[in-house]
Amino acid sequence: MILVCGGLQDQVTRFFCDRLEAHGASFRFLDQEIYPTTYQLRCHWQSNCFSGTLESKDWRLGFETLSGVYVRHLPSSQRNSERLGGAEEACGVHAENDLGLESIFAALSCPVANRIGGVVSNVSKPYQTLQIRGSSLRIPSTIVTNEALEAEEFYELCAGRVVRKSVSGISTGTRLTSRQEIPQLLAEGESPVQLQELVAGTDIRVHVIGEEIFATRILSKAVDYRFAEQEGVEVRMEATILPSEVARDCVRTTKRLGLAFSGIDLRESREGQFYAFEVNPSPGFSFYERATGQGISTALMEFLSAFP
Amino acid sequence: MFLVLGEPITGDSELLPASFRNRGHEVLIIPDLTPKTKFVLRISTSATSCELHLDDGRSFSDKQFDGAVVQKPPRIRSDLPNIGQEEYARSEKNAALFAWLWNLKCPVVNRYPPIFWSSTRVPLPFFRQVLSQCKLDVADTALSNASSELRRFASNVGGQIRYTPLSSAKSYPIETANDWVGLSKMAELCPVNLMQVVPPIYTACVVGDTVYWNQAVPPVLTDLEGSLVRLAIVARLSFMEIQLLVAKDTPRVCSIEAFPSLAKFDSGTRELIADALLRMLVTGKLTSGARKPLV
Repeated sequence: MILVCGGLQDQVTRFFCDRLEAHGASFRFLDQEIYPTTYQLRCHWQSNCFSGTLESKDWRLGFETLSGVYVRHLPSSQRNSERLGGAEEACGVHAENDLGLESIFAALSCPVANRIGGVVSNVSKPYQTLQIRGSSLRIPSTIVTNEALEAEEFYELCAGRVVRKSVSGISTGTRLTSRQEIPQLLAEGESPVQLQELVAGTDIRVHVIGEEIFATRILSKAVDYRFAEQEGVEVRMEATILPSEVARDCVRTTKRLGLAFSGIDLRESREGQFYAFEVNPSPGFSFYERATGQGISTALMEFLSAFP
Repeated sequence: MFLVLGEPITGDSELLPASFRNRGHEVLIIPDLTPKTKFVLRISTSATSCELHLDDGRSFSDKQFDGAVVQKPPRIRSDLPNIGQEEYARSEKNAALFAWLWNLKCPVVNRYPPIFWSSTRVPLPFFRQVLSQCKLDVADTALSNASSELRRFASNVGGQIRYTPLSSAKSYPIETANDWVGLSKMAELCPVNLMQVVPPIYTACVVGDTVYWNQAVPPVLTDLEGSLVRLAIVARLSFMEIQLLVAKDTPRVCSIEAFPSLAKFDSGTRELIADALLRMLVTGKLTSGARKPLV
């Protein structure tokens, strides 16, 4: 039995539930839009043993029957907060609810995609980069600084081929940066910027599920293909195969970050070298599966069904 | 040169710096990355480096630090409904700070894994697997939004229970009818976490391979010291506080504090702990910053 935890407003969660249904898989959906209303949770940790059940109006689930869990927490703003007063109070209650669920996931022996301990590595991109270093994956020259002079010097060293991206997990996209922008970005000196040399080449998204990988080559002239459509730039995707060493290091990096499932952003340079940018712990895999027909959801379903 | 990062861990903000200075070591105290603290982290395939430039003209490369203590770093708030400019700046700064900590080449107490970055407290259930590896028992707990279930648990453990929110360091005794009314209301919003708490509560502070207690403890607890040191190693925290109680003659962990406040310790023991921290940094004998996440 698979437990899916999230919200159907989220396209990725909806896509996965649809695929599970299409495959006739055994699963239960915990709807975070309304949870814990209409659910009854009963868990015990007694004499160091964990046991518990979760009941909805239509079903009852013993946690010992789970073979896997897929989690994609719904943002607080998309949950029912009718009885929760202000937004801050709602956030506090939602956080307590999420920690309760994550406490259960931490106690389970079955695979969880993903537990919170791995997911939070995403809140610092340079931390992730440091974890990737030392593998066959290359790291683009990167600077994180709140000092304009250093940033400008880096810009010159890269001959002006520089992109800017957030340091934290708050996505602001990847944008080409001009020299004129740098002093403005750092005018207050309060928050650092992350600048990276622009590596010319082709984007590759790698989805890692346990030991299995799916690589998707993205053909687009956009700096950040995720925003290509908005910019009126064409995007094409196709399945591709990675050199075995690169594939192996994608699996290793995923495990090192404490993840069972990841979406790794690579770029293959014109010289055939593979650069790693970041590891997404909650990947929007439906976007790639729809475009290429790759069986990512099927592999995820099988991964979450195989235990014990 | 030793680096002390973050806000002081105790009411005595001079505890750690004074300990370093008394032994002739220079200390640089950086409570937060402010506009006055210029920061540069460079990462590439072949090398990483970091520099700090202070507004008094001093500059430091990461190689100049002999050791670092992380006290209470500012938190990353990822749970806010709308991220404003201020919170965005905070998140960006903290993300840089934590990467910097992981890049420091010197011994760092503690080189916190990401799970410790965003919440004020990592709930005890997140430590259960490592506690189990170290053969440490945990106080009995129930998590439920069903009032009948919470009552049954209280009855099973003899009524000595506290409401222990997972997102907070505080806990509340559940003793009176009014307490139960409040608890039932809370359970309508979220499952509540109840724990069997049998006083007295003993606090252990682990510094490397040494355990300090906040009071005289029974032999059943001193016998556990090896397991507590092992816990620090497995959790990759060279400096941590653990609260324990004894129920049914068995010692049980009821709380873990990865950012020790030392609030339960007298001033003499605090100084011993500060000295032990310094010794650990000087000798470099600490739990290495392992790369595998805790949970």
